[in-house]
Amino acid sequence: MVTWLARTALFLAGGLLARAFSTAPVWARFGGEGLLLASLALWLGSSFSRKAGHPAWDRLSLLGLGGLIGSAVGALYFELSPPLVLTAASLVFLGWDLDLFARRLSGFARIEGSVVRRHLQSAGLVAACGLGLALLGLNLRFALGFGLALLLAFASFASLVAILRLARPSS
Amino acid sequence: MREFRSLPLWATLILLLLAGGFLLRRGEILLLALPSLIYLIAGVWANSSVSAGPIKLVAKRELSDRQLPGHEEAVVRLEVRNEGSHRVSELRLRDRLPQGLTVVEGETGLVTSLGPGERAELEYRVTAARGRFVFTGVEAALADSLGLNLLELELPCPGELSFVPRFEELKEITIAPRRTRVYSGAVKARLGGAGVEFFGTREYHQGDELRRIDWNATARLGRLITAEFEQERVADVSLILDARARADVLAGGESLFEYAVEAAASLARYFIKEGNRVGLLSYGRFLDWTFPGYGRWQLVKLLEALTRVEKGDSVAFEGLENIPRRLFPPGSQLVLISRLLEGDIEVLRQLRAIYAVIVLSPDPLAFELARLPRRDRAVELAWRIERLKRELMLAQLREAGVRVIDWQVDQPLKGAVKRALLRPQLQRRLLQRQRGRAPW
Repeated sequence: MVTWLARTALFLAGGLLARAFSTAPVWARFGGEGLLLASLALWLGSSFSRKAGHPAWDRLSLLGLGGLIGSAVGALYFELSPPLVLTAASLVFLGWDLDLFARRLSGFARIEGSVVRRHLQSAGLVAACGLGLALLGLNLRFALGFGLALLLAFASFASLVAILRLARPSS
Repeated sequence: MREFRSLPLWATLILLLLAGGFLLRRGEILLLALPSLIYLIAGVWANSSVSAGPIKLVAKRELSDRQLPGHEEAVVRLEVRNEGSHRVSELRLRDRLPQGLTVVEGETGLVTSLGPGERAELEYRVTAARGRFVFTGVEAALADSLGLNLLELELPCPGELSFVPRFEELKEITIAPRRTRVYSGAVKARLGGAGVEFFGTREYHQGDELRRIDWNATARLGRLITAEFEQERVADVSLILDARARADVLAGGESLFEYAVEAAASLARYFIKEGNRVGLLSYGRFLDWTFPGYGRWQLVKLLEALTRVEKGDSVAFEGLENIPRRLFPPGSQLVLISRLLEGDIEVLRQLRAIYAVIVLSPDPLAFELARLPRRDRAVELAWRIERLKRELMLAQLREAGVRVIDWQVDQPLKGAVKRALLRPQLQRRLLQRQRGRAPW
């Protein structure tokens, strides 16, 4: 079930991004949709090859993730319907998470329902929160000077490093 | 303990998006980083379940048996208890199964979540034809509810399980070694004295029991004659198991060698039960010698040796000529369990000059034929040629005075032993009848 949920999320994300690209100029449309198709194919390919017993192809899904996020960035650069693109990006993250989860569960015949339920709840909640905040952010409009932008960039970098340090195990 | 963390991947993605947003001066791209940032923060928060507190998982294993006959089923129960103070949101357990064991029922893996004090149980049934299997531990992989922080560890819970070879109850194998030991047993010692079967007569000696006087002979000869009976004693029996890989036949996922091992177990059990002194030599990659002994404890030692025996090849032990004869007392009984290869006949002839030899030969042709997916004229012809070769080989052995038990492994061993011990005339008639009948 988790695998199908992951695939559904990815196909929905792909559909939304394709919808966003449908309003783009022809060259951007072909480029974006081409990248989209290639990324989805890579992802699906990795999923089926894993099933067929070639775990080394798993890395392809990482390329697929990169391609989908790249096409979302491209769509936002061309200002193609940001709400659609942000929703698609959230679905990509959700699909990626569920795909990883399905990978972890593969090979186990006995899986307690509570584990799946808890994971779906957490992932769904996190994706919904992320999407909600991003959509809220779309309504915020303010101008930043170069200095302030640089400061913000540095602050983001520093806080990320701090977060990762915090997450490091105590041992 | 191994750890996998996908947090750096998310952090890199966020940094790239932020950098892209700032460089392209697009606020929307910055917003794209937001869902993954929330995901990252949630992952760091959820991290507490994996690495914030000490993880204390304790595993306990219970086995229904420590030793059981091959092909029977043993129940393995595994209990993993969370003795830490944190909930483990996602716990993947997989028991490390020793190679060669087959799971017949149940699962060896489980995905669950464990709160403090809670426990998870795994139960499954395993079987194997033969062997000693050592369980080391159970693999545990822990993850937080989002799976961003993963931890892999091995929980020790040792256990040991032995599948001893199956054996058949055998009856009345008459052996006639030239020498026996001093203790009374069931083997005819070729010596007159106290016994059951008439052996001969001799002059009366002072002190002979009155009931042993042969009155007919006394009346005929006019002097006192004493009847003698054949003494029955225990004997030295050495089992030689042919463990050469080149002598094995594999067909239909089965190995003829396993049948030979089971036959060796049946013989060991029979000869021990009869009170004999039994030793075992496994002749394959190397020589594995179980020193001869009597009684139940010796049977345990023999079965243990047969449990661990493995076939293998070595240049030194390619033929049977390197069987170390000094291990076997001269005149004792040798029992070779082998399918027999062409070069073995001469060696067996030589052994026959010193020992009483029985060859129990599992029939490789019948074994392979029964497991062939299809039979056609070519197979029939090949079977006939090989059959003739084998019969010639067995006839040569019989002529040399070796007692041969030709065993079709799909038939009970008991029947094959019984047939081989029939009187020679009956045996010849039976052999002729078998020759006339091809299995199709």
